Amino acid sequence: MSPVGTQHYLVVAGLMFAFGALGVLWRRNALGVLLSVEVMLNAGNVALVAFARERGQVDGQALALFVMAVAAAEAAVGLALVVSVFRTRRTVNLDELGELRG
Amino acid sequence: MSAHDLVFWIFAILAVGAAFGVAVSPDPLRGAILLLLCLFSVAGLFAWAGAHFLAAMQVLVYAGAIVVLFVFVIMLLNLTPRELGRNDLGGAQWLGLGLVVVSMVGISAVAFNAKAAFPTVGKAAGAGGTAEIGSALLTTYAAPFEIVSLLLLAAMGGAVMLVKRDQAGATIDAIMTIRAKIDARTSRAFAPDPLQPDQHGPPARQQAVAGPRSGVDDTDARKPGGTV
Repeated sequence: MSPVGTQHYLVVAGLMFAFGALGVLWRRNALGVLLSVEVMLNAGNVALVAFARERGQVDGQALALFVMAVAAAEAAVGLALVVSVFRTRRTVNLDELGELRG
Repeated sequence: MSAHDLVFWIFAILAVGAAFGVAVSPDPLRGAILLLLCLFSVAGLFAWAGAHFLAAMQVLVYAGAIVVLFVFVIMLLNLTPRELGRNDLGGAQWLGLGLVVVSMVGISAVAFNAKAAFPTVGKAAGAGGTAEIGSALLTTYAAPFEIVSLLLLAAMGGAVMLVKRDQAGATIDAIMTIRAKIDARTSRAFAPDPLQPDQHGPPARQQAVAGPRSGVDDTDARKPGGTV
């Protein structure tokens, strides 16, 4: 087996992103979708760190830190939305939430 | 395979396996715990790549803050299976599975055939210390750094606004309660005594009818709002 390089990190990142996308499409409750979105953001971070390692610069890692901040904001607002929707509708099933559909 | 590489493979398999578990587990709490495992494994991958500061941040921010937030919401909502909804197979799910297969094949093929594009593959570069990231954040990335602080502030305000229960109604109710109290107090204070005839102004009988009763009406009408 070849020594671990950037390509191995990229495969891990790609698989994690694919499974995150699978979760977003598969899960029918809003909490599961938000969890899967976190997995996808982490996959992006793995790829950023892999390229930062390959190039020997910290730019990729700085960018990964920004992604973490955005993920934190997304989780806070997303969960607030879930709580707010659950209070009014008594469900977090995304298939039952269709009020905005014309 | 060296022992050093073995650590990478353990973390990689854990991360990918936990990501799959997050995608398919029907229970949100189990999904959150699997996400925790996935995030810790990714932190291990970061540390293996020499990004030690980022690994620490991964554990602190993701595992320490975001997953705790998820677990809080999941356990406080305490959803029943009916409220969660079923995970039955439909078109979107098969689209997702197809996407996974395409990603696996495509990314693997690109990554493993691109040795020419990755000249330093396999060489661990030394960058990744806290000092270097800190100076990069405050020089090259100073503007995004400040914008991210604004984003976090906006997210905090938005989250508070979204979950605050009926904020406008509660404020109006509070104002109406205070106004009713003031009305009652002022009408009681300034209304002439109905038993004492007034020297100047309207006749006493009229005052006795109009003054105190309006104050009583006010408090009665606003009492239901005031008790909220």
